[in-house]
Amino acid sequence: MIVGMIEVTGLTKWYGPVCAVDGLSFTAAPGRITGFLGANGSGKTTTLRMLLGLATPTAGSALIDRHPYARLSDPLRLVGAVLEQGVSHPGQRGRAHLRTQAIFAGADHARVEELLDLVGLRNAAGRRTGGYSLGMRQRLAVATALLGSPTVLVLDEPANGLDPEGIAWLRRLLRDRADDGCTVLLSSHLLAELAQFVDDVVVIADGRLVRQAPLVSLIAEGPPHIRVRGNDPARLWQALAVTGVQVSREGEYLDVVGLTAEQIGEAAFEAQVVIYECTPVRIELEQAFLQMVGQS
Amino acid sequence: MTAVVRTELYRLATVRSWWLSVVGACALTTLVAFGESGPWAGLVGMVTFLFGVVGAAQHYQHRTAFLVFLARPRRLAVLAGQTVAYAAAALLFAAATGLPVLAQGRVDDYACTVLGAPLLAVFAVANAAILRRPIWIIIGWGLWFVIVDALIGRLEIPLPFSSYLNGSVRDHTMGIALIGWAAVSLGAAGWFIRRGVTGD
Repeated sequence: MIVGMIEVTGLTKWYGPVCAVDGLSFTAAPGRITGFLGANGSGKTTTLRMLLGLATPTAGSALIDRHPYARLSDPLRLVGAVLEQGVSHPGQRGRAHLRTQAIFAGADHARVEELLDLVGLRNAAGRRTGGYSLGMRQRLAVATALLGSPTVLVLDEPANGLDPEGIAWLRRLLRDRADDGCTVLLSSHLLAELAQFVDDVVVIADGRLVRQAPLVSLIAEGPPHIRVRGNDPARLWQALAVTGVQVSREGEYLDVVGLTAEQIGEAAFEAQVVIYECTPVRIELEQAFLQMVGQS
Repeated sequence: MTAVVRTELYRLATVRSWWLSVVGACALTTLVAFGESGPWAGLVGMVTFLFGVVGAAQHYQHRTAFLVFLARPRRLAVLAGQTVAYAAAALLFAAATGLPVLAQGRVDDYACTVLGAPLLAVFAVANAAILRRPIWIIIGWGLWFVIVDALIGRLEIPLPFSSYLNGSVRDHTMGIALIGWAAVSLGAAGWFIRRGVTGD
């Protein structure tokens, strides 16, 4: 049995007349970082809350290790969660907050100190969390999630409020965890950041699954996209446009979607246009996401 | 459940505003206990109710309920733990601050209040689990106490606070009514605590 598998099947949540999540199904596997993407209000947070037993599904199931969260016997030893913006009592000091949660997780004070070092809050551990910046609260939330040394991490917008250094730290941390065999599922709207370290992507829109795929296959999909520059853009545009593909002009450059570099070269040769530049354009996660959500 | 009790008490002990409030309330209530036992019992009840409501409902206000429910997804165990924690704190508070009453030989008054305060704490925690907003609960029950318990019922009808006030001065029928209020509210809380938790 694979330890730490997340399986969401037909998950549905209605709030009165509003359907927040509609028959959503996806999986997140151990050893991989799964990015959970969707626009604001698309149902990401509701889905994660149902996965974590904080909200009850109207239909369907969300399982971790083949069990609903509520039936896990020692949940903090299996699952660590970071919820949006981090949560703590503002009057409690950082160290005391972790020690409070350590009672639940069965962790000792040495583990608390170890995590304070890991998240870089050692010097701020004696301050009340109400005075923490958003980034510090996120670091504290990550430390809280790691108290029980879980094999599954579920993170809702964990990069919110983190500076570039903090984001790089989080990226390394999650990659290390995944390399150790942990399942990492995180939602984020920072697509460029996410594209740097996720293995798989789950895209939802209006509570429905749009696509689940490995990141590499997602951004490699679609027709070739080439940016080309020649000595006569107008003649080159005409030569390419007659083939029926999508050509758009931006100054001296033409963006061609649907022809390979070889086909563009041949068309330019026939039109007697000299090519100065012919560069394949890599589809970014953001573009892929917008295309998918737009199509859905 | 034991972990819930421990975390509740540890949290209260490590939030400065809380222990300062507890120290202040202990000092004031002990001072009042040197006079008549009625005002002391009333103050014990008020402090117990307020601390129970604010302490338990703060989890929703500061969203630490997320952390508690993530750690202990069985909500009834959470409710039981919080109830035990605040009832035990109320019992200790009443027992400690009432020592001057005991020293004056009013053993029955002392015993009834020490037994009544935990029941009021149960009532408070249950209300927090049902309504989740401390200000609503305090204002709502404050108005209720003034208008319904005091003005309409003249503190003679076995309503929640009248039951406590009379029960704490040896009216056993009212004491039983207080047990009933605590039990009914706890039953309702057991149902309502299963609701989803939102970040709002």
